[in-house]
Amino acid sequence: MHRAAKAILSALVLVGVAGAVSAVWVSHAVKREVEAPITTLNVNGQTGKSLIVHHPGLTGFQEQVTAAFAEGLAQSGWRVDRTTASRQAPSDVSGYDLIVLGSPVYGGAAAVPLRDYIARVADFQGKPVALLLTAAGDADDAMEATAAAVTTERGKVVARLGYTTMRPNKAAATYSGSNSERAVAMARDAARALAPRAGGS
Amino acid sequence: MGTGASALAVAGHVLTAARVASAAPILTWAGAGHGRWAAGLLAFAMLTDLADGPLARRYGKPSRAGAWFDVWADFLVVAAAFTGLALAGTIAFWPLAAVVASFVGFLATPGVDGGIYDPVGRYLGAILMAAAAGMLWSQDLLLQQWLATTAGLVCLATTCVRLGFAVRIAQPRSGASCAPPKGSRSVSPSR
Repeated sequence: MHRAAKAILSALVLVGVAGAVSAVWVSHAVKREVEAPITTLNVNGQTGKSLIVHHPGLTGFQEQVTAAFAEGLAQSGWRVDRTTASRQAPSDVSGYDLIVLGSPVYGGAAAVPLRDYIARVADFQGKPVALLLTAAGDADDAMEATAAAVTTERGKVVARLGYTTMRPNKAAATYSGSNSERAVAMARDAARALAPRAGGS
Repeated sequence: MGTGASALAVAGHVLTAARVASAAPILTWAGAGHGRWAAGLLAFAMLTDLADGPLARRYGKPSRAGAWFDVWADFLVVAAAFTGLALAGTIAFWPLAAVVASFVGFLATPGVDGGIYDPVGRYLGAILMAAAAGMLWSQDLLLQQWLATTAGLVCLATTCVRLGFAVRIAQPRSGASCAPPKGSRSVSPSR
């Protein structure tokens, strides 16, 4: 075989092997539950008690957006319990006044651990639920599907917040910095704006 | 004919320079969330990569400096795209680290090409540019994670192969002075 053809074939085989290994690892990683203890912000918050359950994803973006949202809630006087979507997360939400569910969007849907968590809760008891999704380009379909799942489990969706990495987040004129910095600032402000409405419901 | 040929040879360098110049906007647009603008510019950079080498070989005098200019241009564009994607929160930082490691490995082992068979390394720039363009164009985190992980693994594999061969090539020289001659007995320095 010609040397150049041999080299190209070898490169294709090696890239193919790397692609296959990567496909197996990524499909496992996005479905894997990440266990984390509950951390609490603003323990003596008077506005109400909120629970944030999120899937952190494979990059730090969801974590940053969720942390900013938690800060916004705490600044508005909420006590914030935060954990990841795993079997360790509380499935009894009766002690909370607001539930926040967060996840990256993979293949047009929220990550499997968050969907499993919603199914495990089974009854949100009519409590207000805020959805906090991050996507590359468009979180709309995943938002609709997640909202429908929450509604089916008797949750009342009070906010649908989607932030993107490869499409400019809205309100560019209001916020400065990179796209991810804008998303973080927007999430913090959205939590501040959400607080009185959700608390009153 | 001579003037036209030299103009085409210069055009090769201009194309490489254009690739270098595209790195900054690719980084800026990727970080600002304009993924598809950055993907379009990266596609242009890939075209310049296809054209500059043949122009230089056909109409000019291929030089070592020109080859290094081409390598650095590829690295800058790829690094800009991966950095923008990482800053945007689309991919993790480890694939970017793997890209940098592979380039550092390439710089550290310039003399081993005659001794190693590295088919991936030869096409690494094109592979990484294609992966970056796919990530910038895609609107799906799952596909982006797969492309980033694949690119990172390819870079790590290439780096390991190059460094492994470099060590093997270097070993006989250093080993010759340390290893005792065949048939000799080892003597402890304390005795």
